[in-house]
Order: sequence, then structure tokens, then C-alpha cells
Amino acid sequence: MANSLKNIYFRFQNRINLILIFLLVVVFAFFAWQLENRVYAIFILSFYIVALFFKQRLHFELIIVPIILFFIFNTLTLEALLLLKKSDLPSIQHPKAELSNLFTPHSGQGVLPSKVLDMISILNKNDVETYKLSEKFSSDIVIYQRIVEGAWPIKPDNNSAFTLIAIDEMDKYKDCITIDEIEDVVLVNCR
Amino acid sequence: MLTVVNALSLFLLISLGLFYFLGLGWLVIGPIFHGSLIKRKNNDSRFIELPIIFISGLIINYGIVLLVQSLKISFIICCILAIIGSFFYSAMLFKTLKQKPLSHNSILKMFGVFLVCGLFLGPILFIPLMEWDARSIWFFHAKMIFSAGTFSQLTGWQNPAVIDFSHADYPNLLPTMAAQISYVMGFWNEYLPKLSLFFLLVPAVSLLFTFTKRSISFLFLIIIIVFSFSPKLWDGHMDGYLALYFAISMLLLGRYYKYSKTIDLFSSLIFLLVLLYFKNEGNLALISGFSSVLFVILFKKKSICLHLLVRKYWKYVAFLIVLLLPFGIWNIYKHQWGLSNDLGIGTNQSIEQLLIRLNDGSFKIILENVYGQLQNSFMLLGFLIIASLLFLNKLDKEILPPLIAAGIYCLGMISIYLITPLNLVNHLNDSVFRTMLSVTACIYIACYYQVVSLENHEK
Repeated sequence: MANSLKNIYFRFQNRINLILIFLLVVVFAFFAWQLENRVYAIFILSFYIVALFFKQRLHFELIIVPIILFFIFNTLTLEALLLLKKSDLPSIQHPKAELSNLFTPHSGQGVLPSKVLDMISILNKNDVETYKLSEKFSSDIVIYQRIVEGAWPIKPDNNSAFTLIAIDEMDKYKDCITIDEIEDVVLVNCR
Repeated sequence: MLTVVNALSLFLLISLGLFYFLGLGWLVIGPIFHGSLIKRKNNDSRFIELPIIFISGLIINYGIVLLVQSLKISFIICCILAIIGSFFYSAMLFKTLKQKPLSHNSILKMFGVFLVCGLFLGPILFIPLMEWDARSIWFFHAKMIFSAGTFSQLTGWQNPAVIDFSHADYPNLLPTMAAQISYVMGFWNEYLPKLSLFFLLVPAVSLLFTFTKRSISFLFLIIIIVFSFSPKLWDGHMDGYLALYFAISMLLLGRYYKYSKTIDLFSSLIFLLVLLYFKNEGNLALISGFSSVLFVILFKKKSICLHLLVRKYWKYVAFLIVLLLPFGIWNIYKHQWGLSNDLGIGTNQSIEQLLIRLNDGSFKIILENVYGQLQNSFMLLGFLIIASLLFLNKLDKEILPPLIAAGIYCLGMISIYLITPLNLVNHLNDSVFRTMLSVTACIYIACYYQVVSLENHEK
């Protein structure tokens, strides 16, 4: 029985393989369709049919073209290359500013939110070593994280006398002494 | 004039940095591979050794900082060792180049590495730190180490704000390097510490160029592995490097599966090991990758006895264990300083969370998100599998190691999402596009091996 099945398989090996591959293609296409990836479902079925015509000899172009299309439409390669161009060309043509940034202490802090820059400036100006944030600033996750890392080594400390508050929070800190103020950021001493 | 001085300083910083890590690495790799610091006995390509030496240098440097703690003293020790190592390496290179000059192919490879790394230098150095994790975790840790001048309790790991959002328990190979760069220059800014990313890129790109062929498949490999997620390699996230090194490890394992060269297996293991020092996810990647290594060792046609392998290559095994020491030291420090992971893996709460999420259908949300990230790589893999079956009537065995590793890693990540104490939707939105990068990269490696076999068949 096993031998006869084996003989049948070897006799029709190519056809059986083709049918099995077709079933696999159908499964792929079915799942792709179900997952709303209809272009791929149609593509993989079409590829199977087209490939049957080239079956006698592999035409690598048949594989290369979809791969190139994949790179263009399904990866971030093009965007990445554009970003590389945008960053590399100006730095090669006019390296002065970029190199100067590289070797200037504290350069690049401009990426921080303006309120955080005001806070850092106020802390530095008044030689504060530790500080705490008002309720309003602590609850703003952007301000909170950016001031902690931006102002470091000036450390956040809940026991600190110095508190950074927003100007509209002044009423809550009536008993504290105002040390300094930049825009709507105020440094108060509550000891 | 100032621009010329700055350009020269940058050139010196990069060149000396490269020699620093090569020197440190050679002091260990030389005796292990060749039994000498000056003579080369092993016939393996100089080019494939280079990334291994470099990565060893990175880990040794991190280990010494962890042990000594003081940035100043550790830097002096490392510099002395690096100068000795560089001297011996140069002597060895000079001697071997006299006997066997660089081939045309080697020069082309070096030019390729120089070009690709050079392309990345612009965005690495001239775009300031902007990404959330880069600022809040990796380069914040670097700033802390630099400001304290030490990698110890005084660094500030226990500050409540740091524990609150900065994942103080994460490994610090990159932050230590970034802090050392700032220490050398004597100041902190938002550009120069990013040079540490470049030092991670160089060994990875060098290793990819050991696969050089004048072929479409090599172009495919470079584009898909280096450029398809390249912004993650310059913006200060570690996920890009985790994915890159994990993928390269599986790439090497595939080559070992085919050609049985010990250096490929050893390199693969080193690329896996260093993942421990990138992110906590590196632990999962190491387990997944090691499962693939075991699979390859067990199922190779020319079966190898594990204890014979250990007996024959005991030096390699011992070295791999030594490379694990900084990981052990960091874990001891974490325990002493009370730094723990916010996911609470293995706790009763995590098991309760797992059961809740399995019952309330949350796993469907996880699967949807994971599929959304892997969809593209599945499409390419599916297409190449069909093409291989149609034209070659077979699938190559080299695709198995990366697929096994990708599968285990993916299941591990899904489990982590199932137990996360954080809001699931927020956690997925914040991280799934990064955590799945390693899975995608491994699937792309499987795709690369399919492209190679289709291309070879055509020839």
C-alpha cells in the first residue's frame, strides 16, 4: 500500500507539488484577504499563475521587481535615504555650524519645550541645587520628564525648599518668597 | 580656523575611539584566537575578526567601568590597556600585511564599511537628542554618570524621579560610553554623546560586509537590515541596535549551519551576548537566539557532541562566560541599590494579570497590534517561500534559525504584553513598533537566505 502510494507520488510528483503549492498560495491569499490586505492576496495569486509560465527556468527578474516594489511601498527605506540626504549634504557643504554645535557645551537644548528652558535658566541663574515641581508641572508628563533630565545635575527633591511653579499657581504659594520669575515660570522658596 | 580645529578634533575622537575599543578587545581575542598577541595562527579572515574584537572591547570597557566605578580611574586603566592592545594589534597587522597584503576584495569591503558608516555619521552627530526614550532613558543615564563622575550609588539611580520614569534598572553599555565621551571632552551637550551610537554601528556594518558579494542578494541584505529601519539607528533608541545585532547573530548562525565554520558560531554567540547590555529585552533575545543555536547544533547533518565542542573550544566558552561578568555585576548592583523592573515579571500580580487578559480578550488587541507590525515582513517571506517552492522545489535550511528565534522572541513579547501592569493600549501604542523590530529583522534575514538561494539557482 505504502509502496503503491510512493509510486503514484513519484509518477505525478510535479503535479502534486504544484497542487500543494497552489493550496499554500490559496491559504496565504485567504488570510491576506481576511486581514484586509487585498492587494497582496491578488498579487500572490497572480504571481503563482505568471510563475507557471516561467517554471522551466527561473527568471530572477520576476522576483526582483516585486522586491523593489516592496522596498518602495512597504519599508521606510526611501524616507530613511531622504533623511540621510537631508542631514548629510548640508553638514558636508557647510560644516561650520554643525561642528561648532558638536563642541559647544550645552548645545542642542533648544529641542526642549520653551517652558522647560525657562525653568533650567531660572535654576541655573539662582544656583539652585535641588528643586521640586508644583502640582501643575508635575502632572504634565512632558514638562516633568524634560525638566528632570534637562536640568540634571540639579536634582528634583521633594524636600527641597525651592519650588518651580506656574504664574497662575501663585495663590497656592502665598506663604513662599518669590526668588525669580521668567515668562510664566516662577521660582519660590517655601522654607 | 575653528572649523578646522573642530573637524580635526572629531577625526581624532573617532579614530582614537576605534583604536581604544580595538586595543581593549585584541588583548583578549588575540590570545584566544591565535594564542599570541603578535602572531596570527588562525586562518580566518582578518575582516570577520574585526567586529568580534571591537564588541569584546565594548564589553570589557563597560565591565571595567562597572568594577572600578570612577569614570576617571576606569578611563586611565582602559587607556593603558587599550594602548598596549593597540600596539600589539598594529604589530600583528604590520607583520601579517607584509606576508599577506590586503586583497582587492578586502579594500572594497573596507571602502563599503567606511561609506555606510560615514553616511550615518551625519544624522548621528548633527541631529540633537530628540526622541523620548533617548532623552528620558539612555542619554539621561549617560548624563547622570557623567555629572557624578562615577557609576555608583552616587550617580542618582535611587532618585524617585529617575525610578519613576527612567527605567533605572536598564543595562548601561551605551550610556557609559556616552558618559566617557563627554568626560574626555569635559562637557555635556545634546550632540557629542551620540557618537557612542556610531561605535555600536561600526562592528555591525563591518560584519555585514563579510557577506559581500557582487550580487543583488548582498544589496538586499544591506538595504533591508541597515537602511529599512535606519532612523532607529541614529535617533538614540536602543531598539534599532537590538534588532540589528539580533538579526546579524541569526545571519551568522545561518552561515554556520551551511558552512560549519567555528568563527561564525562564535561571532553569532558574541552578537547575542552583547544584547544583554543593550536593553532588558536583550535577555529575551538571548534566550530566543540561544534556542536557535541549540537547534542548529542538535540538527546539523554532521552532528556535534556538545561536550566535545566544549572540550575543544574551552577557551571560547570561558571567554563567553567572562563576557557575562558585567551583566552579573550590574545585577548585583541593582539588587544592592533596590532597582527593580516596573513590569514585575514572575510576581503573583503578573500571573493574575495574565489570566485576566487571557479571559477578557485583551490578547486579541495584542495580536492585532503585533500583526500590524509584522505584516510587511510576512508578506515578503510568504512571497519568497512561494517563489522558492515554485522554482527550486525546496526551502533552504538557513531560514530556520532566524525564524525560530523570531518566533520565540515574538511569543515572549506577547507574554510581556499579557502581564504588563501598565495600561495595555498605551503600552502597545508606545512600544509595539519598536519591540517588534527585532522580529521583523529576523524574518528579513530568513528572506535574505531565500533570495540568496533563488539567485544562486539562476546562476
